[in-house]
Amino acid sequence: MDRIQNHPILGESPVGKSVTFTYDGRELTGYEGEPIAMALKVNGIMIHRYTAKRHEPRGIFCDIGRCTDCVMVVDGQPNVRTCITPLRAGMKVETQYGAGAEPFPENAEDAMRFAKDERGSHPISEDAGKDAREEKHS
Amino acid sequence: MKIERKEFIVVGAGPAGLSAAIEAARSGVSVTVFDENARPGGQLFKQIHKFFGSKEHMAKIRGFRIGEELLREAEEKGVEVVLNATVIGLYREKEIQVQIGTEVHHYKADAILIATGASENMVNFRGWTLPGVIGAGAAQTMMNLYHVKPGNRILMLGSGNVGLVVSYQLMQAGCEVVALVDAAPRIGGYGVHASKVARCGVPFYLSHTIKEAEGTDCVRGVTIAQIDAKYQFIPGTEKHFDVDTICVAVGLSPMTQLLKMDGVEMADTRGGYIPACDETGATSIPGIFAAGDVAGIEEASSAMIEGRMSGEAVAAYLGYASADEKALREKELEESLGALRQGMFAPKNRGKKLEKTDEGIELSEMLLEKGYIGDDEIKRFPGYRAEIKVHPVLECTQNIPCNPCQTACRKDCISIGDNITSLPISVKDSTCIDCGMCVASCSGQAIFLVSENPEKGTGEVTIPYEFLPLPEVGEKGYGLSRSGQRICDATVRRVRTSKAYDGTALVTIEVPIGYTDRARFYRKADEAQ
Ligand SMILES: Cc1cc2nc3c(=O)[nH]c(=O)nc-3n(C[C@H](O)[C@H](O)[C@H](O)COP(=O)(O)OP(=O)(O)OC[C@H]3O[C@@H](n4cnc5c(N)ncnc54)[C@H](O)[C@@H]3O)c2cc1C
Ligand code: SF4
Ligand code: SF4
Ligand code: FES
Repeated sequence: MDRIQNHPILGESPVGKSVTFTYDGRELTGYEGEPIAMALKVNGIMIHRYTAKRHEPRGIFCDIGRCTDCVMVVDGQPNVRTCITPLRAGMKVETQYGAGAEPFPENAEDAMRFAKDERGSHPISEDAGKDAREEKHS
Repeated sequence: MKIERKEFIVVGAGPAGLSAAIEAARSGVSVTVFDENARPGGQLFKQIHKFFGSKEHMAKIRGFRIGEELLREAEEKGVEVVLNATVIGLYREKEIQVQIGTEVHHYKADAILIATGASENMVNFRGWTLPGVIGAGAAQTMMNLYHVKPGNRILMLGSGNVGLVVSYQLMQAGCEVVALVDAAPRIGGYGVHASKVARCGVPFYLSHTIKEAEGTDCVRGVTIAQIDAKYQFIPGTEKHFDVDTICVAVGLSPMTQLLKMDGVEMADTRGGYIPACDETGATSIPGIFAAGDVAGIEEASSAMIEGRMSGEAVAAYLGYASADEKALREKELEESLGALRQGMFAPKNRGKKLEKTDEGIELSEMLLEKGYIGDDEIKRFPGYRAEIKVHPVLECTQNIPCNPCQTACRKDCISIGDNITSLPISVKDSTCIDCGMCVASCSGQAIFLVSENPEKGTGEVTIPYEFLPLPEVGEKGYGLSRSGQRICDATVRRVRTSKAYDGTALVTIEVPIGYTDRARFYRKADEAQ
C-alpha cells in the first residue's frame, strides 16, 4: 500500500530516513523508527503469521499492540508485535508459523475454513471481542 | 519487592487522564501518568476532524490540536508522564503494577484514577480474521499517524460516528470507500457526518451486514446481504464488492479490566459494563476514581470534563482543595457536561427511535437510512432559506450539541440561542458578507453559501472542501447532489484558503439557476465518479 504524500489536513508527510531490513530473507526498505508493520505494508506484505492450529494467515488488525495478530519473528525472537515495534536498520523480520519461524508443510490451503477465532489476546483486554458479538446481535 | 510511593497516579494519558492530571496538579497535587503508548493523547491524536460542542468544549478545533494543547498544559503544570508503561495490575490498597520494557514496577499512591479509555468491538463473519480486515482505529493509526494508506478500495462496516468519520478520513487519505454498511435499520452517528460521506458518492447499505470476506491469503472482495428483523440473511439480496480492505467500526467497550481486578462495584448501563461511580468518578473504593470512556463510552469533549471533575475531586480527597472550592468548580463543570449530554444523541436517548426534533419538526427519514436529506425535505428546517443575495444554508437537522456556526458569524446571520442542541437558524433579513467563517467552522461541514443571478440564469454555491488536489479557478466539472450523483455542470469560480479556515478550503461553484438548492459537492470533469 502507498504512503500518503500530501494530505489535505496533515500536509506533506514527513520523509523518514530510509533503511534496509530483511523480510523472509528478502531485502526491503522502510523508514527508520516507523513500526515494522508499516514498513511491511508499504512493501505490499499483508501476512505476518500463520496460526498454530489451523495455519490461517493473520495480518495487522488493531495496529495498537492489543490483538497480537501482527506478531512475527524479529531478529530471532518470536511474538514481537510488529505494529508497535520500531524498525531499525538491518533487522531480520520473518513470518511466524505458530510460535516459530519454521514454515508449516502446507500453508494457506485450509485457511478459509470458517474458523473459530485464533486471535491471541492482550494481557488484559481479552474479553473485548466477545462483548462485541453479543451486543451486535442482541 | 520494592514499592515506590506516588501521590496521585493516573492510568491512561488520553483526554480524560490528562485533564484530570492538569486539574489536580493545578491544586498542588503531584501527579504521575502512565500510558502504554509511545505517545500520549489517547484517541485524540488520530482525530483530524473539527470537534463538536461549544467554545468551552473546544469546538471547531481539530482533535489532534486539542491533544497537543492538553500535553502542553500538563507539562507546564509539572505532571510526570511515563510512556511505554502498561499498567497490568491494580489492587484495592491503591497499588499498581506497571510493565516498562521487560521489567515490572510496583507503585503505591494516595489516589488512583483509571482513564484507560475503550477498546474496539469486533463482529464475526466468514473470513473476519483474514489480513485486510482491520479495526477503524487501525485505519486511523495508519493514515493519520504513520501516513500510510490503509487500503485502496475499502468497505466500512458500522455507521456510528466512528464509522462515518473514519470513512471520510479514508477518502481524505486518497482511498476509495465503496460502501458503508450497517446491520441496524438506521444510521447510528450524526446526520451531518453521514451527509459529508454520502455527497462524495458513497452508498449506504442499512439493514445489511457482511456475509463473507473473500480471499485465501488476504481480503480480495466482500459480499454483503440484507438482513431481516431477526438478523437473518435474506436470500437473493447479496451484493459483491471488489475490495482489498474491510474496516470494522462496530462500537467500543470500556476497558474496565483493571477496575474489575481490584473489585470495585460495577454496573450494567447503556454506556456499557462500567464501574459504579458518582459524578466525580469516585468508585466504591475510596481513593480510586474512573473517568472518560472507561466510565461509559462518550466523547473526548465529555471525557475532558469528567477528567477535570475527577482531578478536582482527587485534590479535595487529598486535602488540597477545600470543600467549597470543590463544590464551586464541580458545579461549573457539571453545567458544561450537562450541555453536552443533551439532544437526540444524549446517553438517555440511546436506542430510542425519535420521530421529531426538539422543535417539533419531522426528522428526515432519508437522512437516517441513506445518509442524505431529500431535496424537498431540507426546506422544512430552519437552516434553510431562499434568497437571491448570498446567504447561509445550514443543513443541520438533528439536535446535536454544537454551536460554532453561531459563534463564527459576526453578522448575526446564524442563530442557535443558548441551548446548544437547538437547530441552527438561517436568520431572515440578515446581511451575509460572504466571509465564509461559518462554512469553515462547521464541524459537520453542513453549511453552504448560496446566491443566485437571475439575469445570467446561474447561481453560486460555496462548499467546504477538505480534499487534495484543490480545484482551480475556471476549472469545469460537475455539481454533485446530496447523494453524490452528477446533476449539473459546474464551473469553479473561487477557491479560498486561509489560516482562519484551519485546513478547510471554500470552493465556490457556478451552477445553472435551478441547482443552487441541490448541488452540494463538486467533482472535476475527468475524475471518475
Ligand atoms: C473515529 C473517532 C472519532 C471521534 N470523534 C470525536 C469527536 O468528534 N468529538 C469527541 O468529543 N470525541 C470523539 N471521539 C471519541 C473520543 O476520542 C474518545 O471518547 C476519547 O478519546 C475518550 O477519552 P479517554 O481519555 O477516556 O480514553 P482514550 O483517549 O482512549 O485514552 C486512553 C489511554 O489509556 C491508555 N491505556 C489503556 N490501558 C492502559 C493500561 N493498562 N496501562 C497504561 N495505559 C493504558 C491508552 O494507551 C490511551 O492512551 C472519537 C473517537 C473515534 C474513535
Ligand atoms: S459567510 Fe460570514 S457573514 Fe455570511 S453567514 Fe457565514 S459567517 Fe455570517
Ligand atoms: S451547522 Fe452549526 S450546529 Fe450544525 S454542525 Fe455545523 S456548526 Fe454545528
Ligand atoms: S495489529 Fe499488532 S497487536 Fe494488533
